[in-house]
Amino acid sequence: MVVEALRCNSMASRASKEQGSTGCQVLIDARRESDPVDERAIIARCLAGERRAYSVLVERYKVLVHDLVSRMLGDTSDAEDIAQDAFVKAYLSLRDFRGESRFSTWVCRIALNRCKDVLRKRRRAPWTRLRHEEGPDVAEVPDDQETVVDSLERCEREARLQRALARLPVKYREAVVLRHIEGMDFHEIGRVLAIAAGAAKVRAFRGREMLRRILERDGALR
Amino acid sequence: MTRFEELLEGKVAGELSPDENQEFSALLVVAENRRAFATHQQTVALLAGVERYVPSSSFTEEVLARLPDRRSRPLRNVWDLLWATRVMRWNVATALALSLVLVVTALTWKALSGRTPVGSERHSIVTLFRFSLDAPGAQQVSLAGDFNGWRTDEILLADVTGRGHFAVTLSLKPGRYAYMFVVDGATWMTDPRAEAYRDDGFGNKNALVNVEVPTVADGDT
Repeated sequence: MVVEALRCNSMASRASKEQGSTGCQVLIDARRESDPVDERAIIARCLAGERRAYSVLVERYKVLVHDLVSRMLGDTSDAEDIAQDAFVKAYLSLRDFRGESRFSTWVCRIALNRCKDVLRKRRRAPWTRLRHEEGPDVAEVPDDQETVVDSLERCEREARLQRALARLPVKYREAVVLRHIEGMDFHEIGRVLAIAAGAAKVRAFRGREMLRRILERDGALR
Repeated sequence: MTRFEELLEGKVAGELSPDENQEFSALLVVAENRRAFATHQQTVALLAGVERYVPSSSFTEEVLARLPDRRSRPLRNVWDLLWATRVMRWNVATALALSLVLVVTALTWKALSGRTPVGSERHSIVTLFRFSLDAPGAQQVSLAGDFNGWRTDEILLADVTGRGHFAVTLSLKPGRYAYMFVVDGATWMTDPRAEAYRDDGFGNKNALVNVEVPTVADGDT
């Protein structure tokens, strides 16, 4: 438990150091910058062979995709590779991108499909999970503004939440993560999951209801 | 979703109208609903408060390094077209159609190959035929026939034993040939061991040899 809490803390501190802000703010900024017209221009440049142009899209959505993958898989060891893989696959299929939705919607869908493949494999070979539970960042120092106790408490809360999320069926987990962590509206969630907005709403609610019951049983809610 | 759940979802998202807010407040009189609302709010707060997992600083560069070059390279495209692995989707109709094509191809090939090689063999295969005559005391024996325009000085038989047994081996194409031996350049002699004969128009008989299509590779008269 303590190891998980410290590892979680290391992620938070890394977020603050590299981005100069919390991940939530990064996401909000990224969303504000997202402009479908601009995206189409960038994609046109990519299709013309200008690979560097793609870095704009990757920079814009890397936190979203990486976080989504981490939340879905329940760990970060494979998340980086899978998130990168999603961006590469999206690049390879750029010609098929019709611009009816945002690029972020599209790349999230690719990432989620990849996550489902990984989760399916893990279900068949659960012992492979052992490798993911090695935590390399145990010795990270917490944020200056936060005491060690505060940091441990916060990270323990997050670790409980992450464990509870991992217990949700995948179709509810993805809806809850997209809605409440990645902050998407139900129309966008519907596009990512290829379902109607109403169905996305029901899934998010059911998922949160399951999560609430798990957290209550764990004593995480009062 | 029940009405309470719908209103709860709207409340959490901050999307309730004043009327719906009033309706929701009325439902909160029930203790169970109050508890559900409180714990949902806590869950939402917990979810909204999580720190994001942030990728490494080299993330974008690593993605770019993994991207293939999109510039058009015709030879590369052809190479990819030839060697790219593909998933083939099968069904019974496809399998039957392919089987039909294979059968028709095999039959056509067989029919064509049944003709062409034999025809060419007929032109190219020759049969070695050995002509021999016992002529003790003769100095020279030659062979004249259809195959050499009846020239008497062209095909000389050799006395291989030195006891008057003259012989020569010719390569003949399939066909029927008439021939005679000429002893010492003057005496025409019919082969006594020929397989057939016919009149030569001068009161003698020409010997006949019938060379079959390739069954007999070697013969001896």
